[in-house]
Amino acid sequence: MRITLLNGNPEGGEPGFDHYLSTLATQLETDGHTVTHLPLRDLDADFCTGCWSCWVKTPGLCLFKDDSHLVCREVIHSDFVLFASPVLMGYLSAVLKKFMDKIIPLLHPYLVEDQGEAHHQYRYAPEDYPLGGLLLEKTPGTDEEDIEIISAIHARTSLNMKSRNAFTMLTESPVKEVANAINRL
Amino acid sequence: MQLTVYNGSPRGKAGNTEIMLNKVVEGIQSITEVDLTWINLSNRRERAVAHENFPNADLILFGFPLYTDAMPGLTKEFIESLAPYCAREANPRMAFLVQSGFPEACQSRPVERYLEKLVRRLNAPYAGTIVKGGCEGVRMMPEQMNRKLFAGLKACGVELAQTGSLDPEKLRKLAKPERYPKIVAPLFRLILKLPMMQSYWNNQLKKNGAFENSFARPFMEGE
Repeated sequence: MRITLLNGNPEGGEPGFDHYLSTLATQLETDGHTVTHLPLRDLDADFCTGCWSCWVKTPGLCLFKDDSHLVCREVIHSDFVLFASPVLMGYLSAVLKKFMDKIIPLLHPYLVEDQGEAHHQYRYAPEDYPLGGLLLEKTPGTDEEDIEIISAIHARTSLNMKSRNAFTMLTESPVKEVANAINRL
Repeated sequence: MQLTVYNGSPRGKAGNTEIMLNKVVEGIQSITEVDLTWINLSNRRERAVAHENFPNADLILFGFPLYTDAMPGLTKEFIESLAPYCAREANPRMAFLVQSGFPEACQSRPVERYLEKLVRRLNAPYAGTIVKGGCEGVRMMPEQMNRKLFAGLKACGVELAQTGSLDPEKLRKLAKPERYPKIVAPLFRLILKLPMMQSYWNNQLKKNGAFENSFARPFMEGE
């Protein structure tokens, strides 16, 4: 599979987190996958401004020529995307959330009915959208309820992103277990 | 009363959240005198110091639009700056407003759960969350189309000023429709496809000369 690891560890974040993801990337490559590991904090992009140019002016592209284009390209060409982040104030890091907001150009503004709810229409072919997974690192103060809430929000995001959250795992699990969960997909 | 309003919309003063928060504040002001601090988190400089006002308020009103099912990225950055206040024994009472472009309120419920937990994390009293869908057009609608919504938001403000909390039953009514019953899905499907529903986007696409290109797949070309 073609796999993208979206590493949401912020600057000065969890010291072991990057190492965990690099080890995971190496393991997945050993298992035969093509892996792109993107430490998002090193990418250049500002927060989404809500201008909707990506829907009404430059369809499918953020108006700002920043690294969100690269992230969108990687995501739509992946079979699997891992959303990885330390839990900060009970949720994914701001830097990961920034890039999640900036992948909406992959959708079309029209709303369609899906599972009884309104969701955005496909821009690309249904089979182009990748499966997703969540990898979280607990930080002091993180509890089970936080993990559950993040998973619940992410389940909705997956539905809106024409995808499915295949799993939520913690960095407490050995790298091999996460790799195996991906290999089983 | 010292009231601090945080507008977490990336569109700042030009957005729907700003208008809706204003209506809640109008309601509060109709009951009590307010010393108002209004912070737009979309402004980078304001955002960097926004947390300094946090501990001094009697009431915090914190609103944002739903972005990929949660708070916008810049709003999360602000929330992270509140981390040092988790160590305080008590923090100001917090009320929230989450508005979204999706017609149904159910899409905002998971992030509402997050906000309830956030308040506990900050050892603050929870005053409730106003959830409302179908808000993308608020800023463009004629006043009369928004009348019911604005009255509801103002009533929320009145209630906040009088009781310190939002009544869950009234919030449920304001949030309607919560979700469309499965049985009406075929009808719902048709309604969403009506030219009227798509004209909001089509008009903007046409104005920008981008209508023909609306379904462009820029990352597939040449590959």
